[in-house]
Amino acid sequence: MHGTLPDKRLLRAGIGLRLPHLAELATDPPPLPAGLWFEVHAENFMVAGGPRLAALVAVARRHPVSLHGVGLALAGSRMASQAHLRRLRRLCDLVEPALVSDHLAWQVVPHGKGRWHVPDFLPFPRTRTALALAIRNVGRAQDELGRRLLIENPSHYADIDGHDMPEHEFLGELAAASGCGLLVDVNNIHVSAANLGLDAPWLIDQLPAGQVEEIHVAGHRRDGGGTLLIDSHDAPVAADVWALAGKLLGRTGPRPILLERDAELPSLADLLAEAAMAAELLNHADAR
Amino acid sequence: MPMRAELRPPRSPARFEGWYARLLRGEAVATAPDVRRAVEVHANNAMAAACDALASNYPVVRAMLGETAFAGLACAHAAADPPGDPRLCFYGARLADSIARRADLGEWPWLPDVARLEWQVVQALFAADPPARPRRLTAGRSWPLAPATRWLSSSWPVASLWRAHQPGAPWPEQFPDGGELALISRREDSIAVTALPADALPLLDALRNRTPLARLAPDLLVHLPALAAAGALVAATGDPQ
Repeated sequence: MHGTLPDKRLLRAGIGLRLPHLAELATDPPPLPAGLWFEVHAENFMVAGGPRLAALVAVARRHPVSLHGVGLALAGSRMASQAHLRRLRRLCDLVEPALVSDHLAWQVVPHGKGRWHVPDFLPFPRTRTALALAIRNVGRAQDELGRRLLIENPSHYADIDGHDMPEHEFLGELAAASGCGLLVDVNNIHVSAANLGLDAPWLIDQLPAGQVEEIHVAGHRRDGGGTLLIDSHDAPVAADVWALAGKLLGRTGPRPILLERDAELPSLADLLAEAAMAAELLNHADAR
Repeated sequence: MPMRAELRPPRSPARFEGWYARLLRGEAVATAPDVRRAVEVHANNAMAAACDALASNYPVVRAMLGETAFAGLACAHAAADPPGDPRLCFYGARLADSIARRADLGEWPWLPDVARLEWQVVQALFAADPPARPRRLTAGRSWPLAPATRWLSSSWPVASLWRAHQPGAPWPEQFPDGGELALISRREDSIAVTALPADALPLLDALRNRTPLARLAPDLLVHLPALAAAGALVAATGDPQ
């Protein structure tokens, strides 16, 4: 077992903290609601020093911070390098995050004599071999970090062949065998269900609720051809996604909810206003 | 011409990754239409992330070229030399070489050196913080450069060009005719680019080589105050005389 998560009741509705908002938050923040927490992309802060890292450390002294990585390649035959794990560990030591998470994805694509890091949910067949690989990778990462990880469910654009098990089963077995928790991105479920012709509420019902430690909500858009939903994080959260988050909270009880926005960033105040919807869902979950 | 990929992808993780990698690199085309669309989405997302990182790391080159031309340069560079490190804030080390190879950018011969300067700025921005305790100087010791300190000697006035393209900076009536020795330093959390006299270069090399102060020639020592004022040296106490 790798440490313990903080009391989940302390983390309520959070927002993804992107670089344009970081300086404002470190120096002149708007009024902030109780229970607010922030999640940052870990790789943006894996640097030796300088003002960006200093601003994050300043924020982390006042608010709970979650480190959300895109670089561990936990479902890949080529996992992150030792150097990358060491950088993440150093960042953890500096900001003492409340949560640390990464994605169920492989990311390293050979390219010429080098490699191409693709920070996305590249698909893979959910085989027993892939599950064993992910368990080994997550275990290695947790050992190196001395912390428990949360693993995010993928978004899908195509139904590839060759699965041995459904995704909820894969995630549940991964969590049970490695000791990791699950970060459920309900926008990923909505997008995947629409693209693969699945029933999103049914998918929510299948998730191993007891292993869910964090929930993400985000926006999406339709692609140019109008056939796919893209997990774009560049729009407000859709009503259907909020509904899925509420449904999941009904199964899990209160869990930290994070509003992700990576592009077409609104002001920090507007983002906080949208995150109030997550706080409202949590209040409903408390009352159940 | 890309080959048609096999109908059923392999199931082993490594072989599947190799199969999908060929699709992503455009060396093969998936037979299933939904997989083709998925590959397009993933490739586009990855290219967009790489191009955004280049735009963020090279704002002066971008301002010089304009958005459309820079986007073309960034996409071509990202396709040929995509990010290998998950840390996109360190992506683009070889953009200057890509620019230098582009015949269509030959009308801007200073552009590769401006890109080299911007890469040094990126390195300086994320370099380690200097030690909190001032260094006690004696004649027998060197005066360490601050970890963020970099420099670039160019045949073009790169420091002046960089400064003219900073937000709110005044546009000079005239740029210097010759080249410049650009000093890149981090002072109070912001990056400074200073044009130094060309004969300060041996001093910078000597300091990098940790030459004791007593062994620095007097004509080099005259440049020390400019370096200290720019924040290029670690804080120090004592009398080096």
